[in-house]
Amino acid sequence: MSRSSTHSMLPPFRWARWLYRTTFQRQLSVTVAIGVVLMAVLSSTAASWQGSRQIRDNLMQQGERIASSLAMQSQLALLSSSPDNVSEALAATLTYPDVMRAEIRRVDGTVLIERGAGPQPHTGRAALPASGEIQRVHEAYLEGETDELWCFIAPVWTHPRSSPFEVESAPEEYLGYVRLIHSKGTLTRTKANIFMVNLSMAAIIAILFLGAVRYLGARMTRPIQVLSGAMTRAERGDAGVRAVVDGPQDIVDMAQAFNRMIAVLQDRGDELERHREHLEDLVHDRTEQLQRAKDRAEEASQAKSAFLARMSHELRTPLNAILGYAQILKMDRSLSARQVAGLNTIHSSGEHLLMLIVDILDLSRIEAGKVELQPSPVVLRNSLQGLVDIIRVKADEKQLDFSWTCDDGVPVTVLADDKRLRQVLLNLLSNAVKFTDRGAVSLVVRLGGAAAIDTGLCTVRFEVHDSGAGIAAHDVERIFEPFEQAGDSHQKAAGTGLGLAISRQLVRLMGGDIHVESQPGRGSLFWFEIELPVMADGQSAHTLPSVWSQITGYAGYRRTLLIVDDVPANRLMLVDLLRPLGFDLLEAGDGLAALERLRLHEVDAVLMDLTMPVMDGVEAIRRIRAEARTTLLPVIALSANAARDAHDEAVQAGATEFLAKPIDRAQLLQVLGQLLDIDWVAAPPGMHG
Amino acid sequence: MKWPRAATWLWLYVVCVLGAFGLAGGHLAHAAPDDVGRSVAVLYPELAEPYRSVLQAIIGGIDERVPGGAVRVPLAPQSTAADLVSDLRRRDARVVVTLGRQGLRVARGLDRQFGVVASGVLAVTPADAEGLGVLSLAPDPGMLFARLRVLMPQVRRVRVVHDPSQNAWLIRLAREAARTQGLELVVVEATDLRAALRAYTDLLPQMNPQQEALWLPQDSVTVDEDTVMPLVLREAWERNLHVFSSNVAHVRRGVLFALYPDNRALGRVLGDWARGYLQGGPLPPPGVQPLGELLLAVNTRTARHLGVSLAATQLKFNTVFPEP
Repeated sequence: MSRSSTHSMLPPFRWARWLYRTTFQRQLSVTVAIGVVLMAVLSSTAASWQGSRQIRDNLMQQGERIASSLAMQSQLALLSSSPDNVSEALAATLTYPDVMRAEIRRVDGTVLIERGAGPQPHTGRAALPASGEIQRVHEAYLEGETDELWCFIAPVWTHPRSSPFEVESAPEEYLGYVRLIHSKGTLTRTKANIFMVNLSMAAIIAILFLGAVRYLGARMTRPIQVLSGAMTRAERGDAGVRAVVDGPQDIVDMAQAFNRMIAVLQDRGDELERHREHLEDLVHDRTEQLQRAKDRAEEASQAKSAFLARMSHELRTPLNAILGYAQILKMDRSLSARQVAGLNTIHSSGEHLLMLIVDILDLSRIEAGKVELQPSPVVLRNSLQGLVDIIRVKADEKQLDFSWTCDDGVPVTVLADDKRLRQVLLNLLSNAVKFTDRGAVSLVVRLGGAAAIDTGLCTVRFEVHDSGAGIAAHDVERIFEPFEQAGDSHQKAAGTGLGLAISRQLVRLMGGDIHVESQPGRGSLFWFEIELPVMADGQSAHTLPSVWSQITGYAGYRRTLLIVDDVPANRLMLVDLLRPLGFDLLEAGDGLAALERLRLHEVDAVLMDLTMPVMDGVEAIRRIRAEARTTLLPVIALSANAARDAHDEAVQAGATEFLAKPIDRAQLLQVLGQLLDIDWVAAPPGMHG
Repeated sequence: MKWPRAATWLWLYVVCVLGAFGLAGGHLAHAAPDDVGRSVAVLYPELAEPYRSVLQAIIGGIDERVPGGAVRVPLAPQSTAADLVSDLRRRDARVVVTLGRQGLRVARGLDRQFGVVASGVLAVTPADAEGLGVLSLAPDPGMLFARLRVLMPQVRRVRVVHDPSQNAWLIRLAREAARTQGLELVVVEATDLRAALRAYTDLLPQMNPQQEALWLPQDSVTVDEDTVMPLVLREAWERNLHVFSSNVAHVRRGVLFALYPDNRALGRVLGDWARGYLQGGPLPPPGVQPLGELLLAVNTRTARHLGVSLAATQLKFNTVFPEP
């Protein structure tokens, strides 16, 4: 029981609370002390009272005897009326202690002789006893008393001898009386002495008794305290504690029981400890095994990531050049149609290859959980419109009917990862077009589930219909596996086979899932629902101009850009890409050279590759930011490693933007436009001829 | 030899005649000698010691003189004569000896068909006797004076203080006895203790130690043990006065000598009286008689103090004080 709860249970009376708060020994001592003191006082008083009664009786008897004796000796004096006959007896009487005064009086009350210095004893009754009264008694009696003295009367009679042989007994004759004044001094002193002696004896006995009680109490409570201390230590966890077996038998029994209990507890504790240690060892072993497995897995994962990154980098670098130059060549107006067709083939093949690489990397990142959505306000219809434009082209190519609808209830602006959403829809629509030979493909966007726009959320349902070959039921799940396609091999269309796998992972990442409703020969329906936060109108996102490819320059003064890349081909590709647009370009092969350039030249922005010898891009960005002059200088980090780690590392070092290689021209121009506040100048449509 | 028939008849005749004489021949003729005791009843009070021993001694003396022993009739405190008469008749008692004060009271009420003798009493007056013969325990003054003459021949005058209501009869006898012994008896009467004390106070200084002696009779008024005796003894010791007494206890306290009753002898006297009465003799004459059966007690210390040579007296002292 806790101390506070103990206090809460304390009784309301003060003495009862005292009983709860004091030790057993103190309670015993106080109780015995009170009892002994009361006993001492009461016994002393009683003994004194009883003793004083006996002494009083004795003293009164003594006084009566003295008076009677004097009366006996007074006969001659009274008979002869001669005080001399009794003077000696009177003097002897006065030698008795406490006899203050003695008088011998005649029958008529006149004094025959008196001695002593005591007060005239007129106590209570008549000054002189009535002779008739006295003549009725022969024995001495108490005439009266005060607090200080007694007054005894002893009548004086003749005592003629009488024998059974005498015919007539001689009559007794009353001669007078003796009055004796007896002090109570002895009585008073004796009473006080008896009381004091009794009290002293009682006090001595009480002290001895108290001492004995304290000794016995201590002998009783000390083992209890020892036991209590042992229990306290045991409560604190001292398992080896043992109570000292000592004291009265019942305490000894208690201590032994405690020791046995502690021993049992200790055994159990030891056993538990052994179990725990064993368990800990087991857990430790398992943890180590798991840790090793985890480490191995992480190493494998890192190795895989590194491999993928390296492969991505290695593949992107040549692709960067291929695509870049294909785009550059396509801008050459002097090429023949066949050359243009060839360039297009080169470009589309490169893009396909790039798409394959990106998809593999994407899937890898998604499965590794390294993909995070980056929501931003999206004007859903605009975003879908761009998508529809692309698909419509493809549908038109296959002479398919394509339509799309967006219900009016669908919010205008939502918070979504536009890129990923477009990626999913593009994949579904592309597949629909790809696997539909005739008929129609449609996109339907509407509110799904229980619309709850009031709460700031809405569930948007995206449906992609086609009238294609359809999917057998047993193929429905398989089509979401990587590198799987439904149907016979001859029906397989071109593609990486990763699109649906990536799409499903992305939709799941968005909180939904892709469902398929299909019957072979009757077309398919792919749909999914995702919950999107609704944004107020006006929070529309930037929309990329759809005519990036027509940009030929920019308005305003000329900007100077520093291109930092250890691969000259990459630098050259960027130079070729940007110089025609009107930029002045500086080049550097590593970070250190870039810093030197910056120290010597004023530039408006830096395109910084991250992986370089001498000084890598991250370190270079960090130093740029450290320089006061270039603290605010826009720096666009470029990396063939599209992994999130590279992006994060660059941003942390101070990069303003991050672009993955191969560089998308439109994306690069958009970023530059934003950072340098450039108004792009585009060529009129149809310039490609 | 064969007795003749006439002789047999003569023998029977003689026996019968003698028997007839015996029956008609007075009181004793009624009882055989062994039956005398059953005709003598002793009435005595039941007392504690030392009085019991006195009575036992007297009764023992009676028994010595009464063949078969007297019939003992103890008296309860409330016993009356009327109660006892039938009992005595039933016992066929003819002589009744009463002892003590209560015995005397009963004796006065007994039917005169019984022969009654009273004794074991003190301070009895002739009036108390009421026609009874009473043997008092008061020593005979004649014997007292005779012993005085032997022990203190120089004494010529004897002084006595008495209450006439108790001892007038005794003083009369004493006067005669004194005369017989050639002594002068000076008598002072005192009817109460105060008068007695005054008398002693007066006479003691007047006494001539050489020729006078003081007699202390058995008198409850004039011989007060608490007042008179200390006075007398102190005065006698201081002035070498000769004091004798009729009470043996006084010898113990310092009186020179005293005569006291010889109880067994008294009993024998009483037994003699009873048997004599049964045998046709007389009972003691009515009135009080002093006691002649006496023993002598002496205080040797007082004797030495007074210069009395006891050995020279050739008296037999029955009791000597201080006791060895």
